[in-house]
Amino acid sequence: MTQLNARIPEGPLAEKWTNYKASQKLVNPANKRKLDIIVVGTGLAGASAAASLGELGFNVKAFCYQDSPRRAHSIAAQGGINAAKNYPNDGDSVYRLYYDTIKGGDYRAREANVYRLAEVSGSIIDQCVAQGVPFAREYGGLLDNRSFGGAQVSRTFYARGQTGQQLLLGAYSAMMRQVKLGRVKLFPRTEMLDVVLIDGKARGIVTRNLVTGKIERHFGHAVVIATGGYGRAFFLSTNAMGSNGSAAWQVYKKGAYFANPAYVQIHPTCIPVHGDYQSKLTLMSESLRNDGRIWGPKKKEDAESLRSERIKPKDIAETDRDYYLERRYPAFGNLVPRDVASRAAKERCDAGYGVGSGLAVYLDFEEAIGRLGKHVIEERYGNLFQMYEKIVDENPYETPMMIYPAIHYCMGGIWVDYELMTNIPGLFSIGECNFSDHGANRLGASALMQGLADGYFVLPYTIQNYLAGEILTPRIPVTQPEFEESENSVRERLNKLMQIRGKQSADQLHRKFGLHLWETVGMARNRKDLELALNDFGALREEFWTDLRVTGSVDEFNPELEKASRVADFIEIGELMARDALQREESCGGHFREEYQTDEGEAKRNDDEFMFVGAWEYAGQGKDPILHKEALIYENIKVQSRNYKI
Amino acid sequence: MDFTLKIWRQENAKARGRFETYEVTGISADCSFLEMLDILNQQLIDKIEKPICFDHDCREGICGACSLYINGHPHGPDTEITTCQLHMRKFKDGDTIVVEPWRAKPFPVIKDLVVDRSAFDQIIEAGGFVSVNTGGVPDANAIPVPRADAETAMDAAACIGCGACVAACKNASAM
Repeated sequence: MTQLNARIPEGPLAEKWTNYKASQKLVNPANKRKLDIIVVGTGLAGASAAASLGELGFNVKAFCYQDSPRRAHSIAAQGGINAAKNYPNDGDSVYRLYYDTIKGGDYRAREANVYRLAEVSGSIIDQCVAQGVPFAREYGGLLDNRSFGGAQVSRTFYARGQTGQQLLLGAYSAMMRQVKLGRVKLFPRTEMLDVVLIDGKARGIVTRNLVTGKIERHFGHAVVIATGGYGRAFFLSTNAMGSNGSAAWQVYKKGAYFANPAYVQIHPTCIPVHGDYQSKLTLMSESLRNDGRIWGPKKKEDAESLRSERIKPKDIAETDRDYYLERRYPAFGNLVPRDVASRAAKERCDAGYGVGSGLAVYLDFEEAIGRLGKHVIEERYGNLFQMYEKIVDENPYETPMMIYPAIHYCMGGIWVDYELMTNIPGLFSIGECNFSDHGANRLGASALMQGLADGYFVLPYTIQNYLAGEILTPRIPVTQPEFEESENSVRERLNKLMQIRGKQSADQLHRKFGLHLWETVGMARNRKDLELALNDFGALREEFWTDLRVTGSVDEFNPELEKASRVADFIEIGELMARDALQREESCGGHFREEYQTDEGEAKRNDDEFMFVGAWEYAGQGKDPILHKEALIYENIKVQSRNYKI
Repeated sequence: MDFTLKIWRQENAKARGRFETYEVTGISADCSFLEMLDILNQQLIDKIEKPICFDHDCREGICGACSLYINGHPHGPDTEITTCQLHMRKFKDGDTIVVEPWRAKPFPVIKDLVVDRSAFDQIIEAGGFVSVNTGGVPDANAIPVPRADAETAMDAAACIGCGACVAACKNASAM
């Protein structure tokens, strides 16, 4: 076990980024033209990075599996983006955003990265407004803010319930401008299947053209992985159907460390599971908790009657409703962080107070409609209410929404240092795909902030510090043996998947594995289940590689093959998640070990032994991965138990 | 619910396409249209036949990937939603449902119900952007924008780029 060095700049916290920029190496314009950068993924992080790097004069190649970069799953983010602008004059500051993020992450995020994130947050809003992003505005014409979980200020900027869409269109259009100028070359419907290392440095990738099936090689002086999270390992999640962890997993297998895989976020307000044919869950924005009140019945007999539909929620008298978040957490009420809200919902349902199928609670707008009028609620959340009604066939203006937690986001991911570079020189990771900023729990509206901070304002600087040392490296021909080997291994793996010729489809195997992962490495974990799970996952991996059926062939448009390849990786990712959850003998943020809780059922950290980032190194097939630790040092914040009660 | 499906099958961009008829039975009314296709595809895989290809991704109506011309309407009979948000309760038990890809020259078929919509990226590339670089922009509140203007802008910007307008238009024009 080695101690990892994050290469955090010296100096006081508030001066680190300024000092870094003042002393880092830069690449002059003439040399930028000679350098190629590969960006994999075109969500907020990937598209903003590709656009910015193109503007600087680098040659960028951008890859996405979607038919258009504009469809990356960042587009589905609803509620908003945080920034420490303090426009509402309610006491916000860079320090407070940093403080809330560290505390929200349960003191498991890296201080210097988080401070930098808070520092550049304001510039993101400036940038997006300049691009024409139509953020919500007050009647006076200035920008409006709302509040989100885990904060006592209103620092969230939003564009109705489609903030992710609008920010992505901004980044996408900025990138398309560079495409037209020839500085970014776009490869849609293309999936990265391997990273190529030459003399220990990342030098390119091997991809599959998803339309023709053609395997292709691409060189880059640096490779940036911006492929999002691995939440779909659980099968049911709020992620897109194509969202996957495969690019991250391939670089892990080439030696990049994978940090905190057990830290996954379970979002408290999703539409509950309603059938076994489902393949995807739908999120209802956290912003709804600004005005919606979460409750369950106080009496078990009422819960039973509600479940059997003998009575309706409006039949429950006000005094018989348990607004359990307001009861347990008076200071933050319905706006406690996501991990806290999710666990509280599970606690209610496990105790027999669930409604609907038994795994649901209410999110009620009656009080808000009475206070503000229906038109205000419609203005704020109209599209979300419409979406709910289309899916569930109930009118949320008249009857409360039913909600239940679901897998939503991965705080864990590829380990990166302060420069967002992995332990492999020249290999960077940005956005949800890396582990760096959210600790053990991400606050609402901070994913968009981090994706765009990394892509617009951090990577375009830090990557130059590396590339300055590469200006004499000529473009390496893809005929080099390392590319050849990589392509061969990719072909071999795809052929292997095709040749199993078993009985079960990738979806069937994925569902089986994912639901088991949810039961054992989901909202509540314990040693016994995790140990059993590790065993079971091995058996499921075996089942996958002996009983998978992929129709069609490698050399054609073949979604079944794409799925199979991703599911093979999900199973391995799930194993690492279980291993990491087992290793971390404490509860923190989204990682809740049943053995480690307070008398009141709150997460109980063990700072003496576990205040570190757990970064796993691949040791080869069939071998146990090796755990490396990066100590977390907090010099500017008092580490304490999270308290959202007072 | 039971349905008869007449679905466009086309091996690749150059192959000749045809309608194939499939039966699905015991479908829940709460099942989405794409989940119904998932069920059909599993049946095909069970028979070692090639499943039907269709574009889809977020399945929450925002990415714009899903398409499908259903009974002569883009995204089917419901209003203001995409195919992924269309639920089988909008059909009658025993209905015959005709499913085609987007029918428009700028969107050539790639396979079955999947079409090539890169024409839309070309539109954005040609000028669908504000010409500002990263950094060096004024404070976000430096220029107030009347709320009504911001709302109108948002109405237009909410387009998900699915291509339904092109598929519905007799001239195959985008809105």
